[in-house]
Amino acid sequence: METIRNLLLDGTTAVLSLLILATLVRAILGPRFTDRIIAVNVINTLVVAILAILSVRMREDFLVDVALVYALLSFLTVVVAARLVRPRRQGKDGGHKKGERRTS
Amino acid sequence: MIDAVVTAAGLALVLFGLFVFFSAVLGLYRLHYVLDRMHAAAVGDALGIFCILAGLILLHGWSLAAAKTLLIILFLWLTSPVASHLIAEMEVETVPDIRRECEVEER
Amino acid sequence: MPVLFFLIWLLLAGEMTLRTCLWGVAVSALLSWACRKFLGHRRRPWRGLGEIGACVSYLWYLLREILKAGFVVMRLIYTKGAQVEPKLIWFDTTLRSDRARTVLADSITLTAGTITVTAEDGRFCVHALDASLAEGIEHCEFQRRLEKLEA
Repeated sequence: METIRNLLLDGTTAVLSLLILATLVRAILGPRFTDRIIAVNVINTLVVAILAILSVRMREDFLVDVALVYALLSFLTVVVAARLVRPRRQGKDGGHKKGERRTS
Repeated sequence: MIDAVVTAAGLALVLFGLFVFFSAVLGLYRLHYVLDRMHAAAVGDALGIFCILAGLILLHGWSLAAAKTLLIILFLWLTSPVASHLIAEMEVETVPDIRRECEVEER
Repeated sequence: MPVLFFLIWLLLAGEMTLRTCLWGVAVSALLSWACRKFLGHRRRPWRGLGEIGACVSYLWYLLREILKAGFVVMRLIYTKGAQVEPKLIWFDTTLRSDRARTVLADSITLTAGTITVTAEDGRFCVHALDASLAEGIEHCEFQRRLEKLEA
C-alpha cells in the first residue's frame, strides 16, 4: 500500500508539472493579455495543488503553510493586474459603453 | 483495514482531480475565445482543487495539516470568483467589439 | 468576527499555549477594530438560529451545485469543444441589499460555466459558456434562496 501510494503521488506530481508546461505554452501563445492572466492563474492553482501533494508525499507539514501563502499571493497577482489595466482605460473612453447599454 | 480504504479513497480523489485539471488545460486549448477559456480555468479552480485537496485531507488523516488544507480550499473558493470577475471585467471593457465574439442578450 | 480571526490564528499557530492564546486575542482584537474602522465592516443584527440553518443549507446547495456544474462544463469541453455558443446576458436582480447581491454574484461565478462580468445597482451582466446554461438564470435557485435569507 505504501509503495503504491508513493508511486501514485509521484506520478500525479509529474503529470501536474507537465500540465504547468502546457499552460505556460498557452500563456505564450495567447493572443490577448487576458489569456495570459488566465494562464498564470491556472498555473498558480496547479502549483498550490503540487505543494499540497508534496507535503503528503514528503511528510513535511510546513509545505501546507507555503501552499496557503501561495494561494493568497496568487489572488493578489490578479488584483494588481486589474488595478494596472483599469485606470488607463477609464481615462480613454470612461464609462461610455456602460452608460449606453444601461439606457438601451 | 479501514486505513487502507481511506488511503485508497484519497488516492482515487487525487487521481480524479488530476483528470479534472487535465480537462481544464485541454479546455484552454480547445475553446477559442478568452471568456470561454475562463470557464475551463474556473472548472480547475473550483472542482479540480476541491477533488485534489479533499483526497489529500483523507491521506493526511486527522491532523493539523488536514485542517490547514481545508483552509486552503476555503481561501481559494473565496478568492477565485473575485479573480474571475476582475479578469472578465477587464476583458469586456477592453475588447473592441464584444458582439462579434458572442451573442449579447438584454432582459 | 474576532472569534473567526482567533480560530484562524490558533489553526496557523498549531499549538495551545498561554503565550499564543494571549497574542491571538491581541491580534484578533486589533484586526477586527481595523476592519470596522477602515474597511467599513458592520455587524448584522442577530436574527436567531434559523438564519444559521438557512445559511448552512444555502452553502450545502452551493457545494452540490459547484460539483454538478463542474461535470457539466467538463462534458461540454469534451463533446462540443469549439462549437459552444457563448452568450452575454444582462438582467435585473430582485435582491436589494448589497450583501445578498455580492453573494449571488460570487455564487454565479463559482459555479463553472457562468461568470459575472459586472454587477452594478442590481443590473447583472453574466457570461455563459453555452446557451443551455444561460436559460432561466435570472430566476435561478440561488436568488430564491437568498431572497428568503434577506426577508
